[in-house]
Amino acid sequence: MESARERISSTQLTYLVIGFIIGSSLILPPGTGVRQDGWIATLIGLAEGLLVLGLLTALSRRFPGRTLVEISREVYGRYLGTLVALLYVWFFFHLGSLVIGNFGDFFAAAVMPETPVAVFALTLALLCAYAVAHGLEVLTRCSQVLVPLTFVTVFVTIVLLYNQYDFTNFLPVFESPWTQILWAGHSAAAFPFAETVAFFMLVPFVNKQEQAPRAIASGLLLGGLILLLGVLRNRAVMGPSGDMSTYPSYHAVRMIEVGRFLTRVETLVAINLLLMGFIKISVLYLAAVIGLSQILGLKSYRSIVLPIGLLLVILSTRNFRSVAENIETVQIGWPIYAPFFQMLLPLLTLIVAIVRKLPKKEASRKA
Amino acid sequence: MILQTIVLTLLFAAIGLFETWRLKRLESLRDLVTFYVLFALGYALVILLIWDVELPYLTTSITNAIKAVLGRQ
Repeated sequence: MESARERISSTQLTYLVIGFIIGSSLILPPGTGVRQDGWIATLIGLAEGLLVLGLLTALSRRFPGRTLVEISREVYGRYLGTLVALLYVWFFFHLGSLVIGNFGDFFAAAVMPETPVAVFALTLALLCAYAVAHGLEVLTRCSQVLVPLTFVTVFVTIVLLYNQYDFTNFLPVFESPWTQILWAGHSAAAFPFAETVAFFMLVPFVNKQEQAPRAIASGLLLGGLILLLGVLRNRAVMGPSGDMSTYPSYHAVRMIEVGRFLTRVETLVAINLLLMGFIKISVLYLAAVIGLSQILGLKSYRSIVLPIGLLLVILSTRNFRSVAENIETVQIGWPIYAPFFQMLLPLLTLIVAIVRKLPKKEASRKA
Repeated sequence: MILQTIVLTLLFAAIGLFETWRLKRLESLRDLVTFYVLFALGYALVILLIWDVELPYLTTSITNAIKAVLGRQ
């Protein structure tokens, strides 16, 4: 495959993971539904995300230099392996369409209400298709420029809101029942911390593959830190009124007012969030096309970039009727649906590989 | 709707021809056939949407199924 010639460093992978984790989660932050305990749920989600990463790392170390699709085929055999691989591809594709939909809904609701959602979905998907068609190296270089910009933006918004913080908004701590906090934490793991499963389609393209899991973990921690700061900022600024907001980060940033000259910076912030969304969608898009091209035995994944992008846009408009259904999915449906792909399938694959004593030594020598 | 369908058909045909020319350089028939199958699927879905055919809301359906299993309204 053409992409086999592409190589990225582990540092570049870290940038990519940070952008991916921040992705749409700055718009729809983790830890919703447990009011002032959202930050605790975010930490629990991050810890669960690290556990999932450990599981995926164990699987990847057993089959070095192979994508999840290749691993599935080796572990389960040709037919069942192809079915499992298709499930992974479906997950990346579905998640990609959800993120496109999130940004379409966000921009249509908050920034440009007169414009149809499909316009945002189409333009964003076209941009991502362009990046994916140019390959992983181009995408990682984009993330090296865009991720530091987002870091700066988030820190600047935290500083500029200094006169609006009310830390009593965090009290009383642990007000929500433990079960609710744990569920919110699990939701935060399902979206976005355990979504790093997509990077195990890209690990074979990292220069020093043994460093890839550590690079992903670093990206996960740094991205998680940014999200945690976002959750803390939103709560400190908005308090209980933030619970009623669909896009609390956006509304928190709208409150920036330094003197009378620095106001209405939210559009700049929204553009910044969009750039992170671009990275997340592109990674999922790339994982889906690489996976499908491996399943179908294509010479190059570039031949399916355009039609998959088209299907992504179509699905993004047919996921939900409304943003309320989207939020309900994030809180109820996704924490059950997503772990099947993020945790259960990799765990089952690892167990089967151990039981079947795979990979066979001869096979690994040939590879 | 008829006008939209004609315009979209022409647009898809133009993109299809351009991609055929681009992909021919790969010298892989399998790649070309896969492109056509997926592209035709996308085209068919777009036309269905233009003609207001009621396609299911996929993720909502998944969430509703999960809620039904959990016994939640």
